[in-house]
Amino acid sequence: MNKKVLALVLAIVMMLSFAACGGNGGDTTTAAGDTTAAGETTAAEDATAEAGESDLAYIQNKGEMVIGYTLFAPMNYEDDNGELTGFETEFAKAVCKELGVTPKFQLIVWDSKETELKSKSIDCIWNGMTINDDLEKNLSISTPYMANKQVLIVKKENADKYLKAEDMKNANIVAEKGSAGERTAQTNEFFAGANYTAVEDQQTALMEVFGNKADGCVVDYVLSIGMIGEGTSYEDLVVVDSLAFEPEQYGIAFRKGSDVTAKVNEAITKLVESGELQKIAEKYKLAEQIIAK
Amino acid sequence: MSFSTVNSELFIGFFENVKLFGITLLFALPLGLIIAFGSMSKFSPVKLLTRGFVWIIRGTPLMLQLFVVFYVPGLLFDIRFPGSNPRMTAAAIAFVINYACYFSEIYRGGIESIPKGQYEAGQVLGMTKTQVFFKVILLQVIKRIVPPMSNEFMTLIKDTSLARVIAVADIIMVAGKFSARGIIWPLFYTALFFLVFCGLMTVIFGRIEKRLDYFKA
Amino acid sequence: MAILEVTNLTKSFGKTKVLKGISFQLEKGNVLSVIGSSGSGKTTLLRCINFLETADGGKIVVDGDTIFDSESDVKLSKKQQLEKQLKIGLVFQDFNLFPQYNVLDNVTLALKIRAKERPDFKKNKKQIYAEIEQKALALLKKMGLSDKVKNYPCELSGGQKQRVSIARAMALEPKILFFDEPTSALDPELTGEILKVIRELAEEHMTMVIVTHEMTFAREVSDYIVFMDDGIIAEEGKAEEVIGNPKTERLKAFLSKISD
Repeated sequence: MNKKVLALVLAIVMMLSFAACGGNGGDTTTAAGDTTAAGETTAAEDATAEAGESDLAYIQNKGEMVIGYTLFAPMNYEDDNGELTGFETEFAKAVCKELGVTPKFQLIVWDSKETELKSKSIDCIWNGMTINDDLEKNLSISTPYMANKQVLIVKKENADKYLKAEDMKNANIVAEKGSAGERTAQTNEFFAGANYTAVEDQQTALMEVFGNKADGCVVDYVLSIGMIGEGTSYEDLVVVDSLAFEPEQYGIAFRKGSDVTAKVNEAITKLVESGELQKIAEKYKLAEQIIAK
Repeated sequence: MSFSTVNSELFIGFFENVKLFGITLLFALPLGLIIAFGSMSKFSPVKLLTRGFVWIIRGTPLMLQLFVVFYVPGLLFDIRFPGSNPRMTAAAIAFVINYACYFSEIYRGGIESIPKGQYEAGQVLGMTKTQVFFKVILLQVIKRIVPPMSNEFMTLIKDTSLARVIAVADIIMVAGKFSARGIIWPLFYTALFFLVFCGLMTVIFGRIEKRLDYFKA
Repeated sequence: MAILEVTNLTKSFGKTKVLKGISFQLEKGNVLSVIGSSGSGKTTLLRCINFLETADGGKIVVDGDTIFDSESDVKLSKKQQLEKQLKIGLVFQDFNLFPQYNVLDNVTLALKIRAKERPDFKKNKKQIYAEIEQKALALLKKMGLSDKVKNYPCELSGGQKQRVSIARAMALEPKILFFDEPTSALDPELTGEILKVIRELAEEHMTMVIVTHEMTFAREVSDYIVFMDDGIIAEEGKAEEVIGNPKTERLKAFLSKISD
């Protein structure tokens, strides 16, 4: 009983920390950060101790795996018919087929992803999630399957203007606050001469460049593929191809101690061997980013 | 992305807002009256308990209450939130409780502002307390609470979009889908839906006020 | 036989003794005025007899029926208590008309609610309501309000409101009608119409108890006067004697203060 009371108190503390760092709506790639407060692990262990030995059975009994995602092209997005598609969507469907369960895609709020997972509202986070130490400590992460990097995005007419560190002198650069892009813009020598401003999210960063308020923005490469160019509001934005910063890797997250992770890893290997994963990636111009073996 | 596609998707999203608005009013309006009577109870444990509850609900963010209702059962007791649409159900529960507490204070203010003489007049004419409340007091209370209620109704329709923190696919969340694809205007365009809805409400409340204009209370 | 017998009525608010044992009797058809300075306990006396306050001790008998007895062990249901209370009507100082009902509905409301309890209500609803309305219209005619029956209280003058409130109390056919300072909330030029109505009721031998400041009126309309001072009846007697020939110093002081 005492443990439950403690857990309730901790849960409320955790909720408060959520409230405190809410508002990063569009953030899809930054770390969970301070939401993983020290006390939270107690509640987490509580949940996973029970989930641990039975997670696979739990999912197989249900016959479905609830996949938490946020919309972020080209990973998960809706086509013109409103059908959910994208690299991760097709990848997840293929893995679920291997596991013999039905995928059920559940749109979530990225800030709440760990809570969604622990409260069993979803069974995995599968959404171009960048692996980091915090996540690895608190969740069970699949083998990395895709590489990503931070890139510089500028207006088409400036594509050749920013190639060397000297070009960045007095240029106005924006990035999402707390993101890998921000870290790059602030610490990478390339941006030493530039003026940096933090903005709310990646979309705002793009909007700033689009609206000529900034000369360039440092964003997530995979994200930028779907958000700029033809058919979007940012038709005249381009990636500076010759530059790449902060390599990172994507993984799928399950409940801590879950036995689903190993099963999914097996399935991924199968899909790599059959060439199916490569085929899906090619469809979304992501073939070069695949690292799963 | 054509205008009509965006429009129809936003309408589907706004339907969620309106649904939450309707469910909240349906349950919170009567529940608020019960809470109001509780907070005016002469039996002090009931009164203190009710007022304590109202303090907690009004004193914490609605967003937090949404989290608690939806996630805590799963986090603490390993229970998945039940129902075919668990997110909407959880949002409805949080909204009903939250708004019932606000309504209860409006009711209480309204009821307490009715002069004692109205109760006494009813009593000396041989009416029971219940008869006095329903035949004499209630309409006067309604007249007095129409303006603050119209405020609450408008706050409510806008608050419903807060349900997106537990991923209820409301109009703002739908607009967010377009933003994620690099199309920004739908987000700002959602303002029109709320404006039209609130405009409609202004007209309806204006009519109600006019209907009750025939007497002074 | 007295229609109203009040015996040793006491009431305290906290430690303050407001009524220190009030006893008096009133004959049927007579008019009694209760006078006294504010704080003398006269309003509390009226409120206790009308059950707006519960007396701490004493006994009240109306027309041979005990409506209040602090010694009695008999537990009455709320319904029974309300029935007993209806032997007494009350006209308030500030009218307390129901603002959302028109004049006619103000008078008929209580009667219509009561009619619903009649066993033949469902069968004869129309007829019963028609009878109630006839009765109310007759009362309003008597009050000189025939042209105001469809008006709402906010459209009436203070004097008209008070006349509606008298009609409303009369509609329940009380054995005794109480008035709580019926003219205090009115402009001086409007008090005349209320006094006229009360005088007419007195001529019809309506038993009335009037708490008032209007000495001339009290003297003219009442058969008896009770002077209350500090929670007791300091002096009582025929109106002419009490006002014309006061015996106690307190009453003399009170009367001279009033006439100033």
